[in-house]
Amino acid sequence: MKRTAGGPLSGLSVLIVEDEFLIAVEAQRIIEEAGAASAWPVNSVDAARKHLANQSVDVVILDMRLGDGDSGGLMAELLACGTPFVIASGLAMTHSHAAVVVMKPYRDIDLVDAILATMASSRNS
Amino acid sequence: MSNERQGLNDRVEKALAILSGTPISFSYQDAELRYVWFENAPAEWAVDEATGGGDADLFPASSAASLTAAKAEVVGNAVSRKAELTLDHPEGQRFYDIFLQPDCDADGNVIGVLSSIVDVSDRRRSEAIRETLLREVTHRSKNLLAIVMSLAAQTSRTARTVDDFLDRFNGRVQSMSRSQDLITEANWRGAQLSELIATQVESFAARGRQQVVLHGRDYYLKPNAALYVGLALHELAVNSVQTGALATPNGRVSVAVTALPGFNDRADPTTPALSLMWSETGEGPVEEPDREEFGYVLLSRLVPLAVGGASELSGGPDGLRYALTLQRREIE
Repeated sequence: MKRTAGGPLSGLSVLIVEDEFLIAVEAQRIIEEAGAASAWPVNSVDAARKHLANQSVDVVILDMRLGDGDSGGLMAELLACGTPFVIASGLAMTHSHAAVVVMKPYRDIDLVDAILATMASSRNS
Repeated sequence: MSNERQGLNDRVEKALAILSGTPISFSYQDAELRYVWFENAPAEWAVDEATGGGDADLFPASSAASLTAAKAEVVGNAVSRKAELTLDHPEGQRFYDIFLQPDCDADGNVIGVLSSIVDVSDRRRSEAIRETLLREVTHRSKNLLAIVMSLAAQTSRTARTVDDFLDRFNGRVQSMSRSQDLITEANWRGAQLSELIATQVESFAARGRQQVVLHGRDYYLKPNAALYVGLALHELAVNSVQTGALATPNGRVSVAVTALPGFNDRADPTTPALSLMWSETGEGPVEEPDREEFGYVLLSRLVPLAVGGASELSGGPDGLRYALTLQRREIE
């Protein structure tokens, strides 16, 4: 896998919560190519909680409607512990005051920009 | 009583009897908005207590205030208005459309307000269900488009020419479409392994059903596994038709299915539970597969990750072999 040192996401650890596998590996590729230190895909809210408990994560990409439900519950936990996150959603009417939303299907640059915007606003708050 | 008057009374009685079988009710208030009478009001409304009183004696304060404001406008301007009312109810919220009309005397002065109240709760509920379904369809179709974009990106990375790309990309999209057909026919339950094999192999090998034989129990795969095992079978079939056992009429493919000890371990849905082994015979020795090719990446990395298992792809003296394990939760 091509990793761009000094890319826009240089040094970040990213957790991808997405139950549609091919979407997850593509997100992983995009994030790694943008220079992230790590991009780890998980396919459930439970697996995300386990990962968050054991690893340090700079930003989470969270699919709005996971098969096992409860992405809302995870969102509330992320807000509570101050971990920045990007919401990935296929619904055009998705709006959030809590996070940046990236619409599916997204291009490489859409996802990278959403992560950058999220990191910028978390630094300012 | 005159005959005419008797006839009118009969008609009014019939009309009221018909009204009692509908979700429609009427009320009448005087110009000061005091209730004078109700007809066919919902059973849970305390209409006896409210007669002589106003909306505030019948409804919660916030609903009463907006309704009274609308009626005041009907009285003040001698116009018709439409209002909506939502009330809490033990069996879920009730929704009403209310049509307000002024009652005028011979000189045109407003002397009362007539409300026609229509219970639209059933319609509102089916609208809510339709909206939920619509959102679900949107979500799924957007996800599907994202999957197709991902397939295109992954396929493009190893394609040598545009034609090569189109050929492989279209094949993969069609493979997913065929598996999706099986899943949809089964009402999103999943797909039978034997049908998945037949569907994926037959579009490339006319005698696929004779050449590819399933050994072992015919397990039922859940939707995610059906999609990705289907994609693996597609890659194997394409490869086999080009350079493997399915390229010759005498070639044979065995798909051996074995339940692993973890199959009965209900406590952990992530334990490896099923092993699939695709092995080809009849075309003689095959070379080790090309590791740069996306088909290889798909079989050795992506599909096992998608079904929570492990895989091994190898050439050998008899032909290509591909072993894949699946997690318990991917199987019915």
